[in-house]
Amino acid sequence: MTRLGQAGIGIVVPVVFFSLWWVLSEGSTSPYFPPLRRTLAAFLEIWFFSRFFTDLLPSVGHFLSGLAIGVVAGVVVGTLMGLLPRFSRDVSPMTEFVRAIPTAALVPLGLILFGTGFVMETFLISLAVFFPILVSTTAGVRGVDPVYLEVARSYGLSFADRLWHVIIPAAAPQILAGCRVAIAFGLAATVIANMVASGSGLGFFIVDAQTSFRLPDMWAGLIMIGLLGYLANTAFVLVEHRLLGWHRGWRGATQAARAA
Amino acid sequence: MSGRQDPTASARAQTAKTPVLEVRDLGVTYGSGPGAVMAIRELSFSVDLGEFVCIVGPSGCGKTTLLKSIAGLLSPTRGEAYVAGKRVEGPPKDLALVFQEYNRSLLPWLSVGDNVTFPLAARKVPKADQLARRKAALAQVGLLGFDEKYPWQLSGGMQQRVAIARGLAYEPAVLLMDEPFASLDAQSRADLEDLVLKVQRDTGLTVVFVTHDIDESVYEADRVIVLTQRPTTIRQVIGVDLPKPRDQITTKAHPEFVRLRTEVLKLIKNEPTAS
Repeated sequence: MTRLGQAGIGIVVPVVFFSLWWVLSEGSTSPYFPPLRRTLAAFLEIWFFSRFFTDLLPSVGHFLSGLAIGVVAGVVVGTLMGLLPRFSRDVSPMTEFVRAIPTAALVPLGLILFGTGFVMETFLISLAVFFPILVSTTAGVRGVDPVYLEVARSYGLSFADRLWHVIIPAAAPQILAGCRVAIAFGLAATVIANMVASGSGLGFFIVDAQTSFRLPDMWAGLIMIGLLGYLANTAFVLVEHRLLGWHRGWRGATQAARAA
Repeated sequence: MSGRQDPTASARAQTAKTPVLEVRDLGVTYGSGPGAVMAIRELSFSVDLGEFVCIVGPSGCGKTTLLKSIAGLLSPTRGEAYVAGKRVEGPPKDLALVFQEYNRSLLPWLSVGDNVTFPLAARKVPKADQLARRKAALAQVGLLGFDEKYPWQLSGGMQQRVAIARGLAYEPAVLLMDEPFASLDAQSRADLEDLVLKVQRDTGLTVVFVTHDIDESVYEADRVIVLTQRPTTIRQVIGVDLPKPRDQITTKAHPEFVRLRTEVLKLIKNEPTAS
């Protein structure tokens, strides 16, 4: 399919979805499924006015800082584990252990350590982001073609140059695949963190709206979370496209060579 | 052995010819104890400035091991190698290596131009210099104007040209080539054999070319070093006095070419030879 065709479908599907929602919900009298018209009115009022600074901005801020910390830490530790098989063997039981614990179960620990607020939420989000990046970076660094490294060594590249100009770019496709998963994990952790343990933020807002029976508000909250996920993913795809343009072409060329 | 200590002999060697590459009593054993494998028993040879030397041997002999020892990618168990008079203790600054696996030795995230210059960038060669050297090297291999392409957009033969250009741009004293054309089709292979001969003639570069192709070794070389089965030693060194410039048709039909290739073949197959 052409890229234009794909972009077209990317626009057409949501438009159809929301149109159908609008039409089908218009006459709804169920308090649980309010008309989309009312939900969108609430959406605009809430997210662009009343709750913009109190809930939306903090959640986005926590998400982005947690994402940044988790990605950097995951790439650094993952690179070490990929480069040092012994270190990897020693620490991997520990990382597997912590990785197995769901983020929600770590909320109480976060509360004890950091109380409520920015630090606690960022801690949880970065932890959720850290592990998928760690795993993919370790695999990516370990899987770098040894011929690349031999070439770099034969031309006298220092270790820092080899790391920065050979190992990281060669592992980049896998690191970025991990980022894609991490973004979803991070968003989930953002919502969970403020659902369970704070008095503000997107997750808190949804729970609060539901318990006080402001159901259009709850729906508006859900749409906002979906929208954030969509925007985060779109931004990611743009970055990936720029960084990994070579990878698509290279993979295509290697597959064609293998088929021939 | 004693000849090397003799001052007159070494003085004579220096005035006559300068060795750019010297391998002395080099030996490599993998592992230790009863499971140890001796890949190279003992090798000594030298390559003079501007010489084109081919190293051939039966498959499974220590060609790659020898090459890695010279390139500083592997420490020999015994003996040493010298490149441009300096003992090899890591990858030498005066040596460029061209790998067999052209599709893996070029970095797929870098353009052709950047693949040629990244070793120079790592050496902190000034930008303007890098660009001049890249242009000259790409011109020498017939890829002028391909800077912006990615290597995987090119054919195998062209990719190996890029790898050769990278070696040339590095301006080494020795260009070391590890079966560079073994994975190419016959046509590209013949083209590249001629290309390397031409570049060598134009630049006076010293080339050490490892191959398992006997015809190729005789066609390219001033001298062919024939190795034995492992544990490897030198079976024989054969001078190739074929007229230059050589070409695929007349040189390969030359009676001397036919005689030499038969001789090398017999040496590799370990059969008695006339000489």
